[in-house]
Amino acid sequence: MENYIANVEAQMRKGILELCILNIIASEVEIYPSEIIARLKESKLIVVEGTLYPLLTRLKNQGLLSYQWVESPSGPPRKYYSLTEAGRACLDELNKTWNELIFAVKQTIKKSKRNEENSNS
Amino acid sequence: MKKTVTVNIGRIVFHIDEDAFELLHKYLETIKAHFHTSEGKEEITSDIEARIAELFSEKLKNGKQVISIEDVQEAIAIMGKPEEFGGDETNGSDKSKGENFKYSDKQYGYSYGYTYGDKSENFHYTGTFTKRRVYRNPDDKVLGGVCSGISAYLDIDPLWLRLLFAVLFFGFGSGLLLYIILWIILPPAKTTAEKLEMKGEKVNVENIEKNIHEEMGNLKNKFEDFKKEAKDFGSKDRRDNVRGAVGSFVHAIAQAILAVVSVFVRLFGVLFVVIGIVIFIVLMRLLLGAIGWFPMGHSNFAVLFFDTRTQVLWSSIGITLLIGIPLLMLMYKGFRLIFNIKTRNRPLNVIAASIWIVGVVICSVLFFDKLDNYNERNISRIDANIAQPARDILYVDVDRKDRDEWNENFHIEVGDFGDFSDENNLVTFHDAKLKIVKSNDTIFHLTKVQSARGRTLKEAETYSHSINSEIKQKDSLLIIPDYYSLEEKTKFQFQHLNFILKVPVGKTIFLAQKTKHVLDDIDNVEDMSDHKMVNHKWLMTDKGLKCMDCKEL
Repeated sequence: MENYIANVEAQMRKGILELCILNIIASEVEIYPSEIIARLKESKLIVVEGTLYPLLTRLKNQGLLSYQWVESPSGPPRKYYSLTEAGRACLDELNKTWNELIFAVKQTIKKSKRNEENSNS
Repeated sequence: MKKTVTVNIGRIVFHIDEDAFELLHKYLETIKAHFHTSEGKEEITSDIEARIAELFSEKLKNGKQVISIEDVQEAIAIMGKPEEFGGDETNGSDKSKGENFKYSDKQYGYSYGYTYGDKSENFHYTGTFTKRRVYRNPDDKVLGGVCSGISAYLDIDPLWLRLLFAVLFFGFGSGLLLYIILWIILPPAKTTAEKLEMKGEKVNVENIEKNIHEEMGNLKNKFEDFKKEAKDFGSKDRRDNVRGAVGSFVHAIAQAILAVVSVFVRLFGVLFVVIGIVIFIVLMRLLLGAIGWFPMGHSNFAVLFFDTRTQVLWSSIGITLLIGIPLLMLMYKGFRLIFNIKTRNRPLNVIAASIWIVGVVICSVLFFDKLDNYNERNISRIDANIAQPARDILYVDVDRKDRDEWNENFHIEVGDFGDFSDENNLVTFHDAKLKIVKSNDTIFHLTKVQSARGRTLKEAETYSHSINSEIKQKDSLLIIPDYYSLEEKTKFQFQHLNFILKVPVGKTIFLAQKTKHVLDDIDNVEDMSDHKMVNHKWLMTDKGLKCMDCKEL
């Protein structure tokens, strides 16, 4: 049972991961993966860094992100990502959907709580 | 003690313990396997490699030089195992479960999935071992460590290179020059990393060949992929994949071409250096004459043109700069090509260009100053008194000054034009020509036509008289020299000598075999060409020379 809960939770997180990544990138002019990872880790949305790179590549291939190489003082040059026009439009759409979802989910929670109270009394 | 290997991760070179390397290699392979079916798999893996390189770079900040297995484990923990990438599901335990995560969002036209690649397939690990780089080796040096650095690069015993440079040193110092150029352009191997890099993968023909083979192998794989993708071509998603496959196919071709090109670039580099050395030796051979190391040199020639010792010296400097600077830059460029040095050296280019311009200025000043010396031309006709032959026939022969005898002395032959001998500093030309015309009176005449140039007509006349030639005569045999020399300490003023033999009507000449070298378009009634006229008797008639014993007529 616990395993099942963990699985569902992971799926929920994963579903919103791209939304969060887009939002993080939107909050900066340019950002490089390690910074994105740091933010995601703060919010416990991501466990390992390896998850991020395929997502970034996919978003980039969809034309939602663009990047440019920037020399790094230490280590290899870094890819700095930024949102494209299409990315911004997509993000607005997703954020709208997200708000609708929150509302819908909250509605279901309210209803279930009300039912609980009713049955208790 | 541990064995380390050198690897190139995300285009940065690391030294890594062998066990750590094994682990990292395995990890990167599983990553590759994981993304094997994903679109943009190369980009994802190279991004991950770059991040690992970054993590390693941070590890090496505190003077640490080698990546240990702990560092690799730490990096793997940060990056995560492929199983963790998609969330909590485990690899391949439930394929259909994997499919469940594959969801597509039609609204935005993109799809993604978390299916895993089949690990049993072969994967090509393309993380390359580091290429060697040339450094100067400060640990094993005689002068600057150039030889031992290069021999580490070429994987040969430094002794041979040192010997080569020592031998070349006696090639008019070209060894020293080469050494100095290399000393300037090669950086010293200071850190352990650089020292290891210096001894990295061998750069020899086999390895270049191996590289090309690898590129070709890559190309083949790409092509196979391409074929496979093309077979599945159909759905929209697939079309995107095909585009990716075509892209990587083209990329692979480009890489193969680059590998071939790099071989040629190196060959060009070698060619540049060899040409540079050869011209340098020739140049030195000519110029060092000015200091007297060599019996024949620029100064010997220069005194023919210039009035003062100072001018000779300036001309030496001018020519050295004019030819030497491009030569140095050619060799420099060659070494850069051979050792694949990309850094630009702007100041060096600017300095070289400036010095070269100085050379151009010196040479132009001298040239235009001298140009005045050749303003006017004088032609003097001097009658050489010849004895009239007892009978009515004159035998004409040519003295070509036997070349075998000449070769015993040091001399430089300038084609058919002339000879320069160190003996008495005499300049001898052997381009004298002979014309045969009708005499106005009843006797034979031989005229020397001597010409020269000078600043003024009077000077030109003086120079035209400074030509020495020796005409010999024995009874009816007239021997004309095809050579003439300038009087000692006379400058070269385009002196030239021709002979005109005037034959009276009714008299005969015989042209000996050797005259064919000097005959200059002789008019004759048979309309015969010069080289056919020899070994025949010719009678001067009112109409011109007539052959007396030509059989074919």
